[in-house]
Amino acid sequence: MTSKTANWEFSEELFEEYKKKSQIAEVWRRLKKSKTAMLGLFVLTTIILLALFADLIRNYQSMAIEQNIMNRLQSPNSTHWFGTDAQGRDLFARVIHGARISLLLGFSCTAISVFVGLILGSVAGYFGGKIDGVIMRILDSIMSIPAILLSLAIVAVLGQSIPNLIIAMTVAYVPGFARIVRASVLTVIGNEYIEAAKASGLGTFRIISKYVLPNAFGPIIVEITMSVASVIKAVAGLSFIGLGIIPPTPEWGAMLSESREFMRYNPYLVLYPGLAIVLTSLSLNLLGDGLRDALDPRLKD
Amino acid sequence: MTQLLVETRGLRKYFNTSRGKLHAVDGVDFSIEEGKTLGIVGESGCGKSTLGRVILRLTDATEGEVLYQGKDILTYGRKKMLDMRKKMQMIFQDPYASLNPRMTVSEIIAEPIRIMKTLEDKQQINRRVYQMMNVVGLSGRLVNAYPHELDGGRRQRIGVARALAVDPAFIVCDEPVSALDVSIQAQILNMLMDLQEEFGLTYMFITHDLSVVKHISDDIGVMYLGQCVELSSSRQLFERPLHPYTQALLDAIPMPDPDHAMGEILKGEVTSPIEPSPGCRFANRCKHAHEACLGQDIPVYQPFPGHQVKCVLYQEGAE
Repeated sequence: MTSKTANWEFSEELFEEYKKKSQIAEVWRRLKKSKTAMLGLFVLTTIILLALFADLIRNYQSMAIEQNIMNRLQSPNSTHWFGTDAQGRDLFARVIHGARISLLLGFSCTAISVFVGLILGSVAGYFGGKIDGVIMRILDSIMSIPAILLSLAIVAVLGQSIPNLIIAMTVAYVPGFARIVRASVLTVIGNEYIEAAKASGLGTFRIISKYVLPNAFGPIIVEITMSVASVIKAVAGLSFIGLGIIPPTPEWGAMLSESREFMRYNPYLVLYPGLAIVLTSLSLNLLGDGLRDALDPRLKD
Repeated sequence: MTQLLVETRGLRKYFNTSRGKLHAVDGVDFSIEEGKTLGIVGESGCGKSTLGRVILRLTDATEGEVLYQGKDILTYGRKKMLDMRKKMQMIFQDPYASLNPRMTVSEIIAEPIRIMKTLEDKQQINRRVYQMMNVVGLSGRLVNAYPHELDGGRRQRIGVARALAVDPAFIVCDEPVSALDVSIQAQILNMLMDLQEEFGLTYMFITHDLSVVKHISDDIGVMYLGQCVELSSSRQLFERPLHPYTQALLDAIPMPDPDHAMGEILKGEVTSPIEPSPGCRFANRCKHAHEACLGQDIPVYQPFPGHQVKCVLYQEGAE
């Protein structure tokens, strides 16, 4: 009989060793192994730090807001690293100050839509049937309206401000997230371990948060990293029709649309804000990929 | 006389499909004595897994009763059912799908203990996990391993340890060895039998493999399309199968003997379980079928004590 042939002793250390290495530390250790993820993290941190300390690097009022027609359309040089725009404002100052609003919008819209999407999508996917039908049909009807039109209508009704912009973008982005969450949840709930969890007496909420979502997270992470850049671009679209960021406030998307008439002879005007958007989304993407792998124990080492 | 531990009465489970009601389990009555094993055999799609799930309330029954020590557990509320789950556990079919890939071995085994709060103290839980791993023959260095790092046999041992962790009395084994290599099947089966002896467990053992069921069961129920067509002790069933379906099943067991004549192999398709017409479900594949088999539901006959069969051939006074 197996229990009579105990060939190893109970050791608290084995369990303790695990506790010490557990969770965050373990994920971090695995994340560090991915060079691309670390590059992404580095670039992203740099951008965030630049945004945080923008005031110390370039003065907001005098460099990024006040017009200085004498210095207009200068190519990049030692005083104006990224050159100046048509109003003579320092492009570098506007890019790093613009990062604040762009990142704020990108991250907060994504975070809120992911949160709402997770709830709606997992409830729809897990319960199925009528609940699924009702939630998904409502989301479908939102999705049937072009995102930009929907945000535009919401901003037009609520008034032009950053919180309202966040609300408008969130409403437009929730259906997409909910769909992806639902689809990934559906691939997971057929597994026997969900049933095993029920047999262990877990409640619905804990089954979803501990068994379903962690195993459905791969596609969701990818969607999250794509969404930040997509929100920034969508805000640019709104600014273009005058319902986004009010000039002269710097914002990457708005800067792109402001510079379009000078793009032909002064391409650096769109190059730097564009590069900022690309770098943010690329670094998030790399980080997201690495994070997804680090969170999955099956891909360990 | 030993105590009856689990009993079902008129248990039914219908699924709604676009083409009508699918009768997965259609009026199943059986009882299991404490410390015994009831084997449930049948081909795929006959509702044997659904039966196990309905008994553990992993899916809700459409009709009928599941009695545990005489009390109908289908009427239990959430809290009472959680208490009940300490007594009734399940071992799943596919050890590759039944363990959460994001949890370590110790987390998986500790999960039911934590949820049902049979132990509160962390160190006690750890000790219990260790004890369970020891009981199922898992080495201690695996506490922090993830399921994907282990082979099928070890994974199924985790599944067994998880089921045993809350000290249950009744375990539904849903084809626990059919996904494993033959060499490992024997190991797991013998372990299950040893555990039964050591902890006085009662099993309901679902399988499609007759040699497995013969090895482990005291009683056997044969299922065909949601109904239990024959129920008897294991010995009687193999010595004197009554139902034509059981006879065909036993004939189909491969024998390691070249001179052994194969019995008649079943022809025809299984009738659709969606809205089946009344009468014997096996009639269209049965060589003895005649009018009496159709039109009305077949009652259960008991031609020999303790041997029940759902077939008109054994009607009192017939032949």
